[in-house]
Amino acid sequence: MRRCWRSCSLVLIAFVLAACPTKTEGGGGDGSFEVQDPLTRRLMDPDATTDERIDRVLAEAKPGNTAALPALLRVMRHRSQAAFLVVSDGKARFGYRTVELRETQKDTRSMERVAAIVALEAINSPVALPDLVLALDDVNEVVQNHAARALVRLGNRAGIPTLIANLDNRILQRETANRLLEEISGKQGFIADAGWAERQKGLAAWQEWWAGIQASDERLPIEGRAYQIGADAEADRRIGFFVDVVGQYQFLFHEQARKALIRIGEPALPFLREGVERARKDDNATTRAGIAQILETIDHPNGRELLRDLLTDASGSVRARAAEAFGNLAGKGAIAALQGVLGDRDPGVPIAALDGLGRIGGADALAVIRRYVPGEDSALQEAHILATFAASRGREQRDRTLAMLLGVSIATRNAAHAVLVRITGDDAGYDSLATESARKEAMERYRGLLGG
Amino acid sequence: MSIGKLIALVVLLGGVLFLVLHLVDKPEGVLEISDVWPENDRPRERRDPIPFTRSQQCRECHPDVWREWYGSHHRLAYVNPEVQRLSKGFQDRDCLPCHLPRPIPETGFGYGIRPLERGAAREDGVDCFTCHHFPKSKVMLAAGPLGPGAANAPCQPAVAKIVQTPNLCAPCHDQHKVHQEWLESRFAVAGDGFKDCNSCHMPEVERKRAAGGPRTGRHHGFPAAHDPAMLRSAGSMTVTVAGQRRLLVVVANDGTGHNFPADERHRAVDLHLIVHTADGRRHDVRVARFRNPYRPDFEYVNPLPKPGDTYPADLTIGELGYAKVIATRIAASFHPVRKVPYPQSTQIPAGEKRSYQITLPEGSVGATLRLWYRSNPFMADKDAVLLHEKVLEKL
Repeated sequence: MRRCWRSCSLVLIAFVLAACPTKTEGGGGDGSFEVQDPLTRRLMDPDATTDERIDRVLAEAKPGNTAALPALLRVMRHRSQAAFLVVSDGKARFGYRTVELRETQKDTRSMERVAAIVALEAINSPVALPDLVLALDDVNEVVQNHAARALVRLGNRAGIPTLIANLDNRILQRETANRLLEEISGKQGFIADAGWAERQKGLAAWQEWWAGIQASDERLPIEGRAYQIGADAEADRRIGFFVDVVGQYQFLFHEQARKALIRIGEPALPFLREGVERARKDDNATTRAGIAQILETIDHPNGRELLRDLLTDASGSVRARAAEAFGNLAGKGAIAALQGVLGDRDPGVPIAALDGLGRIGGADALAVIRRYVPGEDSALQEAHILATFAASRGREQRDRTLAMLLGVSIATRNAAHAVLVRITGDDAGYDSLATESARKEAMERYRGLLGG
Repeated sequence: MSIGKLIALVVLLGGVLFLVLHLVDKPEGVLEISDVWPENDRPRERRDPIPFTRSQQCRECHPDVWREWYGSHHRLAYVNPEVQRLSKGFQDRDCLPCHLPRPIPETGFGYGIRPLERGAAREDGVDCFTCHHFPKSKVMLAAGPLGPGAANAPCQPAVAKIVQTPNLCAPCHDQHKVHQEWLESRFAVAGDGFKDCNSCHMPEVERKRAAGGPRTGRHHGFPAAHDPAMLRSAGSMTVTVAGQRRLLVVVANDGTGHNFPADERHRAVDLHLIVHTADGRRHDVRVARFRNPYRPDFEYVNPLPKPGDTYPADLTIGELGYAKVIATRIAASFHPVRKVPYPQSTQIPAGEKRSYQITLPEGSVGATLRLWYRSNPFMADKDAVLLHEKVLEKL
């Protein structure tokens, strides 16, 4: 019996140890992040010179050196491009948690960030994928350029438009962009310090090349395979964690996590599906709504299927976001999906569906809108008018839509103006807060743009 | 003991431990039906959703509350012109969840939880449903106690104490760490000095019961940064003449349980010195700005990052030369060392003071000190709120 209790105690201790946090990094929630890992400290050493730090970072540029990944990602995640750090936390679901970057400081470490990306590219681990796509927004375009190439090696093309945009930048920015595009494409670009007219020709040639690549199945010379869930356990955890950040309350956190997943694109879809399932178990509508918002940018049958699922979500807000997403995606099945939720009990859902049908436009969408009876709810009546106007591309309900610009409600004015901007491509100088006479002037301008 | 029994015992103990840890890990702030209705006091089952969708419908039974809310900045959260401009008519959709929120009980209470936006009733901004509606149970939540008529009220009220706690406010108002600032203040310490959001922003009012007689309710006007009287009570300014042309000015956050100013980063409080000359001229200079800078304000430096810090400055006073200023950060007596969410913020944390020893240049015959509140840092004096003023005609 005594032996039995001893065994039980041991097992209990093992359980307790397993349940306790194994390793937690970062500050105590007050924003003061203290780097615990010796390699990170060495790479970010404030007492070293820039060149010394760069050399230390580049010394980690070895294929398969995954042990250096956390430190390299930390070096890359400067405040100028990131709202938060991803730090390890043994207690958290994916082994990570966020820490807000709160210090306000000038960007003095951009070359270290370039070095970190070069090292990450050499390691070529998909764990870096979410952080690299966010580095495309770095304040320094040279950092953006290098992130773009590292991403291509990971099978992600999200940075190529960034490289092309940076061709029209200052000398160092356009020179690196051009050189990296040459490496990515295997083609020759232009001389970065040539005259403006020559560079414009070169820029046009790169744009043409990119349009051709997108239209073909051609693989780029250095392009890796797009990431697939299950290929790397750590990458799965990190991408999965970014899906959970979509539900976090900090404004910039969820905005950046959303952006990261949008840029990861199609490979993010299985993670988003899992995210929806987790958020259902957790009763977390905020995450599900954020996922619906991401799905409006990834046009793929699996994404549409997930959106259809979200149209039946328990939360009206999630259903409305899914309807909005279908309106933006348009294409196959969108009209039927939106038609199916016009009778939703939550008024926000049919409002979003009508807006979506208006965006899609054309005879089929217009027929659905015409059949819809909005009842007595004034918000639904307005949405119905605007949807008819939008779907008919300004031919029907013109006077009532224009009259909304003078309406009492600012919400009505904003909604009408948004539709008019979409249809005419002109904001007509309209300001929903301006005086009535100023709004009338803008209304007349719109009448002119719509052909009287 | 057989091996089978041993395994069974281990599994049992492990299961118990797992359950305990699982319960401890329950997501903070997420409201369950059992939280709304204590087991022993559960009202009748609500089968149908409440028959209301707009705050206007609450007016019939709660006219006084509705009137207060209608005049509040919660109601104006969507239509407020300043917000409309900053969000470009809410084309920036990320602003919507807090300016047009669905019921907070639907997404959860507490800081770290983000609400979601609704698509309808936009003019109502933060409406009755935002704080009171719990769609899962098909009830309207109230702090209680409920009156005798509540059982038959069409809004199906249920008591949930959580609606009168800061956990209701945090999902929106902690975006800028107001909730966490409060937790660091003496107001959050249990005891006589305890004050929460409602203590100041929903003061007690006497209401009439439908069945007759008075009851204590809470004001739904939510006085805060848009209320000049509230702003003036938040911070004080004292001016002492400390010698010939020498002044001691102290600005204190002695009225709030959060930073001063608080919440949005565009809010600023400015201390101005206006020097009078013998020929009637006035030289107006800013001595200090109290504000949490925007994230890209990389040049913004907090000269007083820690309590006890001090810095000297020279202020140009026209042709008179310079006024010498020594600024000092004075710690809150109850909280000498505090956590600071944003190191570059010059907002004054609850209970702290800033002192300014000012030596005016020769030729100064008088001075005026003004403390201004600006809802954005570029706001001119004519649009700003003058919080405090001290005129010293003769020095």
